[in-house]
This record gives sequence, C-alpha cells and structure tokens, in this order.
Amino acid sequence: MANGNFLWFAEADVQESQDALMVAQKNFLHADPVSGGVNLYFKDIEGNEAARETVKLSCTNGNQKDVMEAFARIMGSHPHGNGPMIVVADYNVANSQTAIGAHAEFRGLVTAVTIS
Amino acid sequence: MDEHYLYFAGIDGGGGGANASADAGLWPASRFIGVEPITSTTTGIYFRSGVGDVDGGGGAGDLVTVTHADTHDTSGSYHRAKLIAEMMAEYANPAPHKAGQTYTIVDADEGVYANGIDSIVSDSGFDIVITLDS
Repeated sequence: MANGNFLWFAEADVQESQDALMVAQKNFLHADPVSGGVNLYFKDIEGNEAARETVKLSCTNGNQKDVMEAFARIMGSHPHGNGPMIVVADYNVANSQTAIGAHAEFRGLVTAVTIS
Repeated sequence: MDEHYLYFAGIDGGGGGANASADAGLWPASRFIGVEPITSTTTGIYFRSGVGDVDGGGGAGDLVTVTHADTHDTSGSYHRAKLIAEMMAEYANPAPHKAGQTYTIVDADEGVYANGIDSIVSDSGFDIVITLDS
C-alpha cells in the first residue's frame, strides 16, 4: 500500500525536537499566509488530536500565494506512490555543510523555515 | 486492503525477547505519522495510536524512540533523524502488491535491520524503546 509522500523540513541547527520534522503529506491540514511567510499546518506528529504542527516558510510579502502553489505542486510529486522522502526545505548548517535550502519548485522565494 | 506492516523489536536497555508488552511492536504502515529529532542522541518514530483518545487533552500516539550517536554537528554528517526519516519513507512506500508483508525495521533480538538503519546500529548506545499509548 502506498502511503503518499513524506516531507522533510529542517531549521539551521538540527539537534532536538522542533529543529526538524518529517511529516506525511496526507496529514497536511492547510496553509495560512502570515507577514513574512506562509504557515503550513499538519496534524500533530505525536498524535495529539488537540494540537498541530506549524511550519513557517519565510518569504517576501507578496509571494505567499506563489509559495503555497509551489508547495501544492511539491506535495503532488510522485502521484503513483513509492516516492522517496521529499526535502521541502533544509537549512541545517550544524554539520558545517552548506545548507541545501528550499525545494527548487519554490524558485528562490523561500528563504528560511521555522518549526513550532 | 492492500496493507503492509512494520516491525520493531527493541533492546530497551538490554532486555527484549519480544515476549512482553512493548518488547516489540507491529504497526500497519498506514498508521505511520512521521519522524522528529527529540534530542541530539534520540529520534522519535511516531504512529497513530490504536486508542484514539486524547488523554484528557494532552495525548500522544505510539512512539518508537531510537537512541543513536550525536552526529548533529559532525562535519559531513547530519543528525540521525534525517537518515531514519528517509528509511521510514522508503518502507512506508514499498513496491506495490506487498499486502500482508511485514518489513522488519529493527529486530535487535534476531539482529535484523532495515536498509539505512543498519548503518547506525554500531552507534554507541544504540537502542530502541517502544512507548504505547494507553
């Protein structure tokens, strides 16, 4: 059984809880534009039905719709299942490496990721 | 239903044997929720609970905690959470027509490990602990 895409987000220093997150695309709830970015909401990874995961993709004001449309296209990748984990945004530099950055589908509009 | 299953059997400080509650666990892959680092040396693999409650407003699903090396600031490496996440994505989405098949992710009792996690089994302190929702 294919279980859909899985999405990876990582902040600049991946060390502990809420520094990085891998979530199922099927648990995506909705996106909400905020000043300086877009908040993506997912069902809580710990299964708490009274909570949710929030991932903010930072962008310049005015680009929120483009970011949301790009994210929708990313989530729709590998429509026939069996796809690998998709790195949506990975800014980790704790390992002294250059950050991978955001998925190419964003065309440079996303500049950071914050998990809360 | 075209469902496959993921199996974990732990070390849990040296015990195991898969003959007592939370020594081991088998989950439908469709109940897999995601992966998140917990500390620099632990990563959580989360499954939707079979209990389905919210434990009085708090609540948590079933959790497999993997203890591993601290590689988060090792040059050329990464926190083990990413490797574990990639591995779980692979096994949550195997080739089609695998209904009824069980994939062993970690079986410390029999020394069987899935591709990916087998590369960190030699980490000092490597362990898994299963915590079930109640």
